[in-house]
Amino acid sequence: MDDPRQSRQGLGGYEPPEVADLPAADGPAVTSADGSVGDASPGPEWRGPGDKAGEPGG
Amino acid sequence: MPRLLDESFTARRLARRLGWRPSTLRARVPARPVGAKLELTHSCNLRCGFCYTDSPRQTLMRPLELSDEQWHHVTEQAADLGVIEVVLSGGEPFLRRDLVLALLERLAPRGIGLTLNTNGWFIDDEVADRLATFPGLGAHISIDGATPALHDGSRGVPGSWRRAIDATSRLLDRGVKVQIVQVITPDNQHAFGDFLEQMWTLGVRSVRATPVVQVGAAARSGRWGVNRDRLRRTAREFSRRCGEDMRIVIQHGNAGVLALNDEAAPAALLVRPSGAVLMDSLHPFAFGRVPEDSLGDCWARIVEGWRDPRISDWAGSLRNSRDLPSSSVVPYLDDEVAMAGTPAPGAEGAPAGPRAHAGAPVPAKTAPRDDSGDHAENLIRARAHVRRLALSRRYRLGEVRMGGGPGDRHVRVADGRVSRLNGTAALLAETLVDRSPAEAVDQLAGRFADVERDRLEGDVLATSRALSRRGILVAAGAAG
Repeated sequence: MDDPRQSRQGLGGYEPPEVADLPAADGPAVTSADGSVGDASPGPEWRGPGDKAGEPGG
Repeated sequence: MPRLLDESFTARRLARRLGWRPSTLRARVPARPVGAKLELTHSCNLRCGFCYTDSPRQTLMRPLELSDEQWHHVTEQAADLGVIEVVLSGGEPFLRRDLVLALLERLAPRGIGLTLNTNGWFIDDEVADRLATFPGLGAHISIDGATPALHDGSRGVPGSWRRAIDATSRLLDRGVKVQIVQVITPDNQHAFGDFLEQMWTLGVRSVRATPVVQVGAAARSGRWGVNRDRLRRTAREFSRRCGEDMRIVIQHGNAGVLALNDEAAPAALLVRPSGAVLMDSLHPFAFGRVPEDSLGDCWARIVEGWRDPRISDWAGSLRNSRDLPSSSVVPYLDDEVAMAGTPAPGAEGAPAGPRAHAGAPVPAKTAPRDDSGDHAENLIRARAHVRRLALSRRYRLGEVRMGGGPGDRHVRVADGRVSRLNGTAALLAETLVDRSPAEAVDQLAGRFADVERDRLEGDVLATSRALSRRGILVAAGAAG
């Protein structure tokens, strides 16, 4: 299977694009109020209809 | 939770006997339901042999369903009871298109989380435009493989792969949150990696792979076992190569039965097309029927009776998911058991006995048209289609502030997250604003004449994906 991101090898004059997340404290701008970065994963703990853990697929 | 306890019935039962209970399980039912799943119809335009609602049979039988007005009434009651999440499901809910849209219209302004389960067939531009207006809507679209041959073979209707893929792309073009649900079967498990790659290219952020749960049509026949360890390895390998920005969940094959055995108190309710009110999709016990009974009354009966010995006995008879097809009541294949309140039609008097519907006629599947017989060849064509869709998606700049440069730029998104873009990524970000990846490649091709177009396309697609996931770019069709 091909890597959908294509090769990361450098080419002459072409630097492969990179996007990196920074910890808020290291960022150049004002950090978020709670200092958190990255995705939150709320993960409902109740067996609600949108929590598919117990639901058949299809 | 240790994996042993996560997957072993025996270990969980033993743990319960010893008084250990996972903190995530509730022992008490909330006084009012937290969520509601509404199965608006059991009819469907597809013919899946594993359909958990047994929709191919239901489509032929055309049982009586609640009217639009009755569904509006049910929905209003659910909202008044304080539910925070509603799932609209089927069958294929868009066979009642106007009803689906009207219910979303009614619920969205109330701040209720909305999820829509669909096969995508009926999501044209007009429907996609409407769906994009509902804030927080999540669309769960079923796609069973990376090629029409795999998906259409599974779903029984030629053209259904193309419809599902195009619907997904339309929704992503408009910034609608999409989760792809793949039913993993012995026939498509070998191509799971191809599928993940394809969803990644398309811009999907969440894939849920779910083995067949043997209820409904799947309980009739068939061998549905899959190698979950292999799937997990494939997912890990994919994430290692392509990053973690596509969420991949491989659901337990026996998750449903585990949920039954866990005896977690229900927090949501399910309303079937007949109006029967149940706890969820897997417990085949009805606690009344709307509109004769109010939703509040049905919930009160669930609070009272969710641990009824008849339910516990039924759940206790299931040692694992393979026991479901031979259990005393098979969800969706058999009529539900009336526990209290007004019985649903068909369950009045003498409900149809066990397996009465097992031999009922179902529509025959039609063989896929776009099948060369060679998976690799099919995949090349399918990939080209998906790539075209992804390359044509237009973006605009999100709510961000950029600093630094020339070269590396730092970007702060309104929610406080900060990203660093190297020089090429920063250039791509600027070039992608108010353009599609295809147009950006055209724009950049001269500047990077030494870079093969295919590689440049791949890098632009990957960067557009990385930037949109972080909110630095937003699909141009997104609301707001």
